Amino acid sequence: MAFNSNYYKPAMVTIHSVLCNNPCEVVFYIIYSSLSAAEKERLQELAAASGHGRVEFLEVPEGTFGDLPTLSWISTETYYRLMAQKLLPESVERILWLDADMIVLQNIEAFYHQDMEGMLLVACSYGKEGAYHESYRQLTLPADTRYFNAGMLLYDMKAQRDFLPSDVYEDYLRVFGQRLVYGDQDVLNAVFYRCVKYAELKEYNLTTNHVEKFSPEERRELLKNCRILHYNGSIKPWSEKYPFVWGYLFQKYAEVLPEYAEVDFEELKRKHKGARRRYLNYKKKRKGEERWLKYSFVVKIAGKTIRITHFHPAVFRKSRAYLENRKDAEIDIEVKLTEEDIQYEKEQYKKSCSPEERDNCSGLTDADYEVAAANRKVAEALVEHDVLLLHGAAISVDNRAYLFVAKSGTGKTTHINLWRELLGEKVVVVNGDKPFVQVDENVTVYGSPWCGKEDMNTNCAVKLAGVCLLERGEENCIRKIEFSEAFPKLMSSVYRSKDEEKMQKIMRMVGTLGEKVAFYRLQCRPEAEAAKLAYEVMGEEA
Amino acid sequence: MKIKTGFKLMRVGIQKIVVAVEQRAEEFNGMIRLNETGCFLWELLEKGAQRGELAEALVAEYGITPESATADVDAFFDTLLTNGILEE
Repeated sequence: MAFNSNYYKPAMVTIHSVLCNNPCEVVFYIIYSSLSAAEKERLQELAAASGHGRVEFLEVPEGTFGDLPTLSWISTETYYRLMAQKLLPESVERILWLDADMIVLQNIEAFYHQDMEGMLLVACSYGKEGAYHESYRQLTLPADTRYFNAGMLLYDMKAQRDFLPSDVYEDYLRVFGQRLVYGDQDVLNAVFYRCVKYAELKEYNLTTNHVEKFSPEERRELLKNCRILHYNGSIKPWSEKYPFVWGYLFQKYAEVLPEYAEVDFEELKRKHKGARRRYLNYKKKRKGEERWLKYSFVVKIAGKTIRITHFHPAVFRKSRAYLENRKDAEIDIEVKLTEEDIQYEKEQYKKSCSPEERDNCSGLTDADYEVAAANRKVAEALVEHDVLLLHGAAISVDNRAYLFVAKSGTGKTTHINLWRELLGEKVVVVNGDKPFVQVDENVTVYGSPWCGKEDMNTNCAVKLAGVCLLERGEENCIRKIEFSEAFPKLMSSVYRSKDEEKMQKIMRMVGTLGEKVAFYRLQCRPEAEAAKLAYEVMGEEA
Repeated sequence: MKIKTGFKLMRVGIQKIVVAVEQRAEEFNGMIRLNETGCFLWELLEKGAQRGELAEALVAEYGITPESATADVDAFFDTLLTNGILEE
């Protein structure tokens, strides 16, 4: 197992449940970075008290894997199990991994000693063969992969030592680290997908949200056969808000432990009943309405407070730097993403690529399309708040922003990188691809999370000083131009609404923009001299 | 011939463009800039004028020769037809 102080109490319950139902000798290996001396002592006591258990601690430095993505209810400790091969003594030939939110309800000795048929690990899968899982494409796994849940894993350690290079995970994380959705579970799937023996999930990794899909009669049958129960999901049975069935099984093992002496289990049961009632009502109301669980978060973009409700964690991850943390913030804009939005984005993308590109669709996933849909919907809503979305690269120098507009592939990114080389720290990239521009008395450029493949953006607001149409040229040459000359390019770079009234408004905003900022046409080569010239001319003007 | 639904003339300052809105925006994401004459003709078309009436209207409005008016109307129709803006 792998856990820290925050999961110490539930882990005690897991260990206790194993010992209660398995009279054989059991050694618990615990990978941790922060457990107090008292907690370690208690773990040892608990195992020793059974008369057939003991605990070995394997410490990892704090902050290990700290830079890898996690979901709100999955903590970094989950990655520790990737260190098993390095940390466990050579004498260990087989190991059963259990998450600290699982309990063992029956004897699992036969399971532990089973013939693994030459596979490196035994796990349970919720995916049917050929069923889609969002991690597949993200991790470039083949479509016939059966994605397994990593809560329960039976490892052949000896075979792993023989067949897997010890730094296989490090190599993998270096490439795919930031693409992970389900943390170490994605990594394990990517490494082991061809060497898994699948076990019956109803027996060995029955998740409580799966149990919810069955009728009460069916559930009784399930319980008879279930040997390992998994309280997956974000709400756990030790929380008062736990709304699912079978919370009492956790209580059964918890209530005899001194760690839970202060918990009033009768009271907890009542709370669970209330939570379940509310949950069932909610489910009834939403029946058929939504297919997936949805998440929402609040960001502040272009000075507006926006609540975004979405499916894929990627949408949230992208927006982290813009989170609005004030609990009482008034919401200006509600953006709710739907499956239709994702489909629509897909079609738009297909329309925009050439036939050859369309065929391989460049490995974009539903998560990518949803991120793009979030941008589109926020842009659409911001029109009513006097904000334009412009396709271009916006940088800020000495608190004055410059916006470079050009067709994709002309060299906007190259050019702003030249500014960075020339002026160093003074240059802040507000948004490398799609900045928001507020047009009222002043014209202000805002950073936003959606910024093209180079991923350059800064959460800031800067007064726009100039707009520069960028073109490739034989020589470096810049001149100031009239708004009317810049107008067509500007109109083809601006986000357009399909709504007639909003489109009128966008036109008016572009007109106002024309009155308030200076326009330039820059013909340039990809060299430092071009940036120097542009900076001198545009910087001097304002 | 008349203008398909969804094509709209929009102005800001002296700038005049035709863009597509609503469903039409799915098939047309460009824009067409119109000059003063083009704008005049567009508005007549919107009101239901026929191609044959346009040259005459131009002559009346701007005092140009019928030949140059016909040439203007032809050029205007060329632009609209190439961009698929008109229908029977």
